[in-house]
Amino acid sequence: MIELIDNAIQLVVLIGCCIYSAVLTIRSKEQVWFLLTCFYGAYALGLIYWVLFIAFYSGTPKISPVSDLSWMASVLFLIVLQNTLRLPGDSTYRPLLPWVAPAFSTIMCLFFFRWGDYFLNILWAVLMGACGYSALRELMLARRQNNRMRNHQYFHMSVLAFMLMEYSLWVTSCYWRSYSLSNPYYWFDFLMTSTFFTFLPSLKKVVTE
Amino acid sequence: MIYIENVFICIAAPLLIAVLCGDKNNRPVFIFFIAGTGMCLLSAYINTFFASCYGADMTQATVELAPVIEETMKLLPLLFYLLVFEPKQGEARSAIFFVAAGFATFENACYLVENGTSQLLFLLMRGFGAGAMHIVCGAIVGYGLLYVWRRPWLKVAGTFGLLCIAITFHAIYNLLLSIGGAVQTVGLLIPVLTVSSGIGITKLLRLKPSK
Repeated sequence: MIELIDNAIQLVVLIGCCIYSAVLTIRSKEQVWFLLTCFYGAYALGLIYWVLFIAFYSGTPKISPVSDLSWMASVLFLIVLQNTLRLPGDSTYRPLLPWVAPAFSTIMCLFFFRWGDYFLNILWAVLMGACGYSALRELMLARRQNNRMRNHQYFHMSVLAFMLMEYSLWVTSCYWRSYSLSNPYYWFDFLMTSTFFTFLPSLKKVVTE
Repeated sequence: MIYIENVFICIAAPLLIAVLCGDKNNRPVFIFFIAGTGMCLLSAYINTFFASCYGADMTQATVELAPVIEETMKLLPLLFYLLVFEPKQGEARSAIFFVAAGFATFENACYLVENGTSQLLFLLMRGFGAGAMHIVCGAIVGYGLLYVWRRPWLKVAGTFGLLCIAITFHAIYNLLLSIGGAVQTVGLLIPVLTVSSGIGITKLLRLKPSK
């Protein structure tokens, strides 16, 4: 029951964020808001299937490519959004530190091979690695700016927080299986729900610069 | 066990003859319809293969695997047509619908062979439900692709995103159908209502500029 409530809350938040960013897309006709709407929409769609599955079958999907594919699509939209928000001087800026993200997702991919499907794990690692690399690099570049472009850092921080929560969720789901609030899985899931909120103000800061 | 390749031959043979004898302008319609039935046949094979790979039971195969495979297979002839022939929007639209209709027809034919033809009311609902669902999924991907491919920055993510939306819509439909009872009826009605509202909105949008 707790899992259903947790996912239902997340779904409501996602749908709310999706509607709000869709309204902003229609008002401003800006590409970034459209991409954020796609991110929220794709994630929400995968979650609808997940929630319905829990509600009707009292358990999570065992093979589960359906929700995973929707969530992967949402991360892909996030990567396109990061690309759209590139700062000047981005093409020549090649620091070493952002490679930590792909290295981390590769290690995690090898770790998750013990539980999940190989193909889906590799796909997730590639997407999360690319997303993390882009977020870290743009964050470092944004912090070097002295003007309003420095505001970009908040959006990339939100992306990194989202990634961190996602990985924390996956790790906890491997070790804790109880259906009570003492399970850290639900804490991280509630935290992830709050990271969905942070995309909106942080992107607003970027757009209004 | 049913021999679905025999069903395919029975459906495709008259259509193939019609392609050869009919008017040249109407040929694409028949070809897309046959492509849709062919993709449904291939999907059934691939579905069986993956179901045995994952050790999935009937419900898991229907709810978790079939939507992914079927929607991906349905996209292939459309992608081929869009990439190789680069058609106009109108031509692409009819291609989308005939591939989807072919797919739904073959699926329904197989369902009839397996489950019989006695329950008229349920078959009526299933016929319209499955037909509408495949048309909705085809329209999501097809119309979406026509929009997405005009924007280079959205091409890859957009195509994958659209496919995922279609897969999830299909999966939700299959999930509701697998429950039975009132939930099944709701599942059957969702695509029909989506098609009806889609037609309504399209007509409204068409009316707007002429005011």
